[in-house]
Amino acid sequence: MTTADIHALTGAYALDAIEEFERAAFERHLAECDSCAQEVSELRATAARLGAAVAEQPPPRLKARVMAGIAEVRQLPPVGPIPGPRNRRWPLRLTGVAAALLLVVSVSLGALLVRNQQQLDDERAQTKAVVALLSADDAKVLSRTGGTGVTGTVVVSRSLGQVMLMAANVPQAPSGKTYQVWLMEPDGTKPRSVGVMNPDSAGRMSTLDTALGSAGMFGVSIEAAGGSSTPTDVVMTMPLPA
Amino acid sequence: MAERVRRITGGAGAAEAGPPEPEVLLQLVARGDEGAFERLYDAVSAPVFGLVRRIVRDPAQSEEVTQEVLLELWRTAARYNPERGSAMTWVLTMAHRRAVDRVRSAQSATDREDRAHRREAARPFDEVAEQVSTRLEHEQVRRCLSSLTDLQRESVELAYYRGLTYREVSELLGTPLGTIKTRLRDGLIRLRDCLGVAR
Repeated sequence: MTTADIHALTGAYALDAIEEFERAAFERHLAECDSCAQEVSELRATAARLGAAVAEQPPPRLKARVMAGIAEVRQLPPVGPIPGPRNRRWPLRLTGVAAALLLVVSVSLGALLVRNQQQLDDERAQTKAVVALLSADDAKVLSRTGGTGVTGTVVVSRSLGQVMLMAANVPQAPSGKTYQVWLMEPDGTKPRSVGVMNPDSAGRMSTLDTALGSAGMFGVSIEAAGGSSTPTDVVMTMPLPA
Repeated sequence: MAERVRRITGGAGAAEAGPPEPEVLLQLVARGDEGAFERLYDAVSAPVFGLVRRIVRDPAQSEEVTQEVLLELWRTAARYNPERGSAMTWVLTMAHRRAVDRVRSAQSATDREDRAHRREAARPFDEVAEQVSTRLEHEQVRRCLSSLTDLQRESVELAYYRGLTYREVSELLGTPLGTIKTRLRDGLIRLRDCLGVAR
């Protein structure tokens, strides 16, 4: 994609009318283009005026629900300098806060991984591996939300050669089908199966792979039950931090 | 940080004169002030619900998404950065994104079964403009929308109010991708100038 092409995306981006793979490319561009960031922020403000113009009072019961709801939601602390378009740079190095957060996530995911394993020894090994990965000096995390609402999060440590893949909001695979996860070279070639899996009832799935090698991308495909040796219907790909 | 604290103090003082700005409320909410959150709810819930409803359409789902957005607001209030735009822009950007995520994930399930059906079910583009309220602010938006070329206006409305990607807009209007991409940008720039959105 040429620079001129990518500039023209400010409008589509401000309207959330951009596809996931382009969003990532555009956000990288935004981080280096002050005039684009300025334009995006003006166009976002313009789009918000379109939104405000269709205001409609919600039913009163909603207020009661929301006010009751906040009692159960923990507020996030402020983050140092808030990442703006200028310094928004994914993948982020794990900061202390992010590391702590992920640790919490990892414990629950550790438990998640375990239930499939059904063995105490495996459980301990998994949790230990997850914690080791998250505390690795070079651990990097990258998170993306796809156009379909699926959120993919990866934690990579090149020094350990490990990657943890997590996805949320994953719809159930079509009947008779299964999801299969792949690691690929950065250019998407040489897919290697990490395994077949299916989301739990909350739409989450996760796995830890300890043979990262030179993989630079991961992908999820839909396959006939049991999986296959090469990806058939790829539904999501995501770059891995270098 | 000192500057931020001063701003909060100033804002709270100003509150005696008139309703506090959402920016001020957000900063109070970030500190866990539930009363401020209630006032913020009163200020933003109608724009959020109206926008979500326009995109999602189903009333029950729209309520659900609105609730998610407002709880997200409570959760992330401390992350709001006034230097990056007004509070209303921040809130509505969040609401739009959530609503779009909701319709796209619902769509992805049905797409596999029947791609063509979605296009047949398309609603007339001018429906949105017709439903825009006649109040002053709304009137201005409508006037500005009508100053766009047909293609600019249709593209912007389909993308923003229907939550379509520019690729889908291009298919629906039978117009090349590159053209739609440019029209979305031109159209928004023209709207920005017409509405006098601060630079």
